[in-house]
Amino acid sequence: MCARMARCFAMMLLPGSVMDKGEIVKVKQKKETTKKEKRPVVGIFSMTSCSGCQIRMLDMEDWLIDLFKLCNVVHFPLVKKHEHADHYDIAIIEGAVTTEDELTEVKQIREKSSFVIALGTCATYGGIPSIKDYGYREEIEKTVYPEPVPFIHNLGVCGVYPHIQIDYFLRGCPPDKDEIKRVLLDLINGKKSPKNFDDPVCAECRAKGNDCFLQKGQLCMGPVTYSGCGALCPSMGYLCYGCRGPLDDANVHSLIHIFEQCHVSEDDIRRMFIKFAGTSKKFREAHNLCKITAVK
Amino acid sequence: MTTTIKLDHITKIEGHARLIVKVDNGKVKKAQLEVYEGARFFEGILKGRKYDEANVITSRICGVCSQSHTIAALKAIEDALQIKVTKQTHMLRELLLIGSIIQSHALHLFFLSLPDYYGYDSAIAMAGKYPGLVKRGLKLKRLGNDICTLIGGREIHTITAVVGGFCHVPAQKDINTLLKSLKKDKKEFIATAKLLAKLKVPKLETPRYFYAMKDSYKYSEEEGLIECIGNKCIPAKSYGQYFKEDIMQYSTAKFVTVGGERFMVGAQARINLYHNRLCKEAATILKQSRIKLPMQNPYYNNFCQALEMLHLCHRAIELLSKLKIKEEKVPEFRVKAGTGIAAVEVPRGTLFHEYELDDNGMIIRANIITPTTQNLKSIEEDVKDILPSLLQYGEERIKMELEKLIRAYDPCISCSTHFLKIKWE
Repeated sequence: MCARMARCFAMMLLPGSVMDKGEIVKVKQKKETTKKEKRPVVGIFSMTSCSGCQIRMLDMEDWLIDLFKLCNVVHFPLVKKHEHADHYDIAIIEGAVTTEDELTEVKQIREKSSFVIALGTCATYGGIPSIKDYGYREEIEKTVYPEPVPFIHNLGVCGVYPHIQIDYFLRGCPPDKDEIKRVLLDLINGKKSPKNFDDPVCAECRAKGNDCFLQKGQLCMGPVTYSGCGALCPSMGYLCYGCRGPLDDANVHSLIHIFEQCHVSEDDIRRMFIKFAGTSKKFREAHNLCKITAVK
Repeated sequence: MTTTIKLDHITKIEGHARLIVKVDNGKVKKAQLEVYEGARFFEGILKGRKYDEANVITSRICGVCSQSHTIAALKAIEDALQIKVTKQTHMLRELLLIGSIIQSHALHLFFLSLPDYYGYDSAIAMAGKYPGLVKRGLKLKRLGNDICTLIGGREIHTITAVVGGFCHVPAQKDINTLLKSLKKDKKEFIATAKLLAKLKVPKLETPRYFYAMKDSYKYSEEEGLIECIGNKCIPAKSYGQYFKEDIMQYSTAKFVTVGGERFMVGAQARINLYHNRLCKEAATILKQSRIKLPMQNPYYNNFCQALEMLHLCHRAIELLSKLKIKEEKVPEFRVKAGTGIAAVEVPRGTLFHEYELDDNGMIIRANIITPTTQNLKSIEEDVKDILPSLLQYGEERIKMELEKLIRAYDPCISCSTHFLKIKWE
């Protein structure tokens, strides 16, 4: 009896609750779920991307089933039918913002969510698709679409960040599975701000005992790039191409200076910066330092 | 009376698409598959980048089949620069593709398609009642991923594959471990194929063309040919003359036709054309299913994916047993101007990459045709064909059935919306 009274009272207090039958049922359901539902509500959202970051979540395989037990995953377009919650404890956004619709959507997500994670480099900096905005955007669009198609003109490509405030950047193309798991577990366990990385890739690379690409005269972005990937590429014999974006205190001037000793063209250096995180302040600065030799 | 049926967000497919259908007095007037994924202009982005960046950049076209783009880009660049790669590189690349196809098919079958047939919203919801099935799905996906990680360095966006070969090769002991686990878990592939053979599919028998590379399921160094049932072969290098792309005013993806006709590519096309190359177990399951060949019904694509996974597991075991890994140097080559084309069979069909390089090895023109763009026309036509039989049901049921049909094709929307450069007139 008491419980029912309390429920009615709660219903009166709920904004927008009306005495329409359908509405009441809806509110009741919500009340019931919150009663036994202590799990955080999670939404995974997808903007313009390769869907690789959603795949990354699936790649966690067995842990994925645990995640679904630990959280109430409401929205996950690659895996389930569209459902929406009024509030998300954790919202994870993959992909770059490239259209007006996406801009509206990310703003709505921010309003409804307590903690927003930008998952992957597209959500953080715009990623590979942001290359198009450097120098010859119009020409690039025309290359692909010789005649204008109504909805093709998109906004400049950029990450979610300049549009909304982000609580954690889960960088990388693709993002690291262990980092995803750690951050989510921290949040599920009530930690307010999971620890971010603040060392360059070089720190992890040296710890692994890899040969230095820069010393071999190759353009490696290790010194200015956020660590957290375990220096995976350099450990596999491939130089770092900076997919995790620039450190806050990255010294791009001195890296350009080192690059200049490598007997490469200015355009080679410029292209290194305009790849995954060209929209970031640091890499844009580096791009501006190199003379643009536009390709016809 | 005109009714419009709108499937606003088709979920459980890769990317963003919607379907709009107009029905007038029981007749289907319009069926439009609208792809509203933001444009990414990959062919434009590639212009002005160096030859060795093509694989890194195009890998990001798609997170589901990133290895496919990596390998197609590498092959096309090597074609332009006339680089011959070693036997070991061929084998490792074939394995990488096998891994990619297995994980992509496992994802599609268990996470995107099967919940439809079992009446669940998602595989996760299915896990309650069918834990074994979901675990099997995860296991097969893991095996595909394991192959990709061993050869490519990580599950998606391969690191190690570079122009001319590999910058890092796996250790022999890791190859042996993988071989052991594939041998052990082959039974899971067999069980999956048997399960899919039993699934009841809706009737839809409109005849259509099927295209697949002539070297599907076997290794060959010959120049690629694309075969079509009942038609003559097309040399892969002249794909541009046959595969025509149309820009639709309602879609950010282009639609491809051959001679104005729709056609289908992917697992079903490969099985229809080359079922005689399947391994013994897969061939037996196909025979026991008593499904008439060639299979016209697009819903059989799911079954074909399961058959193909079993065959590819067999093939991977064969390759891994033969592989005696050695450190190799990438062959020497000279950077020069030229054009290169590659056609590769990937999870969803034939993928084309073409690059034109200048004297300094800079890309001056790029063209990519993905399998999903080749299937889009067929999807639209099938929606039109199946709708009359669905009109007796309510809107929700119609929507569900249409989504099931679209999902059977396993469309990869991100792949199809990175825009294909084509000069009109």
